[in-house]
Amino acid sequence: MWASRPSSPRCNPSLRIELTRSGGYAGLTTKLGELDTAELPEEEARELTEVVKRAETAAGSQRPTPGADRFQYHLAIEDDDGRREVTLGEDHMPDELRKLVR
Amino acid sequence: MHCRGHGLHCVLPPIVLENIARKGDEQQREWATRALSRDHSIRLARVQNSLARVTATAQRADALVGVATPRPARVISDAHGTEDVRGPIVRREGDAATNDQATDEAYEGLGDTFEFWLEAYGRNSIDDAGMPLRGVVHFGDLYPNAFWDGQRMVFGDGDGQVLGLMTGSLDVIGHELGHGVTEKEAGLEYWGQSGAMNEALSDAWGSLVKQRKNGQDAAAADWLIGSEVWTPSIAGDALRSMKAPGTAYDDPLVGKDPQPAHMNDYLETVQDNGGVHINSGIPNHAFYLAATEIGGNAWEVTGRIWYETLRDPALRPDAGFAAFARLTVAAAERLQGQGSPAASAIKSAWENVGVPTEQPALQSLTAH
Repeated sequence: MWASRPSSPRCNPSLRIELTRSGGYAGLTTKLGELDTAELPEEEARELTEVVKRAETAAGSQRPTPGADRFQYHLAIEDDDGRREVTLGEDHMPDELRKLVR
Repeated sequence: MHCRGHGLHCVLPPIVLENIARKGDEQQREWATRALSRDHSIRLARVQNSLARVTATAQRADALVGVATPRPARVISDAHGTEDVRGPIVRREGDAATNDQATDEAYEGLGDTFEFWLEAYGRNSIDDAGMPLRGVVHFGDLYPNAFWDGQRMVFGDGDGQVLGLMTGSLDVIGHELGHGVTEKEAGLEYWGQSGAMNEALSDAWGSLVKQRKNGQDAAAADWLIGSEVWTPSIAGDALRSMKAPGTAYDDPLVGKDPQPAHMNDYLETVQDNGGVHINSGIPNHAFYLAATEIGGNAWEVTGRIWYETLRDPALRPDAGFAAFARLTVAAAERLQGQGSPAASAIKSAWENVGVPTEQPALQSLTAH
């Protein structure tokens, strides 16, 4: 669970993410974007927090993507629990997250 | 079995030799492989053999006397900008051109690649049993990639900013189909060194398809991978260079080609499945060095040795560069003879990129 900061003006916990894509035929590593809940309207901040939670769960249970030359997504997450990074195969990347960061 | 006498291979049908080469004990296999390498009918035999496995009994007799020639079975689907690979079929084998660039480039490129495998190595499609070649075009929304999904070759239109139509380079198509061949043969795991080896094999096949199509020998070839997929605004010749890894592009937007050409610069990373498209520069360069030293058409000797290595039952799915390298030397000695110029060229090619071809010395159990 996300611990809320008593000093925060909202009930949302602070969450910062950075999304990077690597791999693919060209093998290019591309930073797709970063988001900070502190800079988002409350509704979007809550949505992002939920999507990130789902992505972390998906990362833990993913099976290797079959084939070759697929993209990989690397999601760096920074919140009250600290900083961590999860890697998601293309098939396991939540669509909502791709849309939010675009 | 006593068939080591000289000349006996002349009377054994190639199919029997093939079986011995696949199933015999070590000595028998070596003998049969040597005999086969001298036998020009090996290509036809493989084709007939694989055809006989998949065709109906009534057609089998025809296949065995060499009447039927394998033909590609291409099926191109259009994802119409979605990520659904089961979109409508827009061009089947034998259909006329559609005037859609991606569809027609995929169709033609898969045809050229099928012909490469059949005529250079007697291989009948991805699985050597006539597997249909399924291509998907217009995949995704400005999708800057092409991939093999385990069953089909999928091509995006590119983002238009950095990468254009992915069907624009024949070697991209050859590369993706090559992943299918590697998966069916050695199943090299797509991670770390085995993954980078898998990538290097696909780059080699992609480049060889292009070289054969252009009628270029090893000296004339550009050894570039994906030379048509950058948009004009990107400063780069190609995505990768087998001749000079690390020099294919240098651009303010996408950065500099990160490929190493030597084990000293091997990159440990969690990105790109452990750097499979980065560290592939090392075996890519070894292939280039061997092919240019051996000379002639690169698909004939060097490509053949890489292909026989890929088919070697001793190649494990988790093989790293050194394991693959040792088996290329063994294949070169089988096909070209011990101490042959090809075997020496391959040994020194691997040495030049820092990959050992000798078995690591075992520590003696009685040393103390």
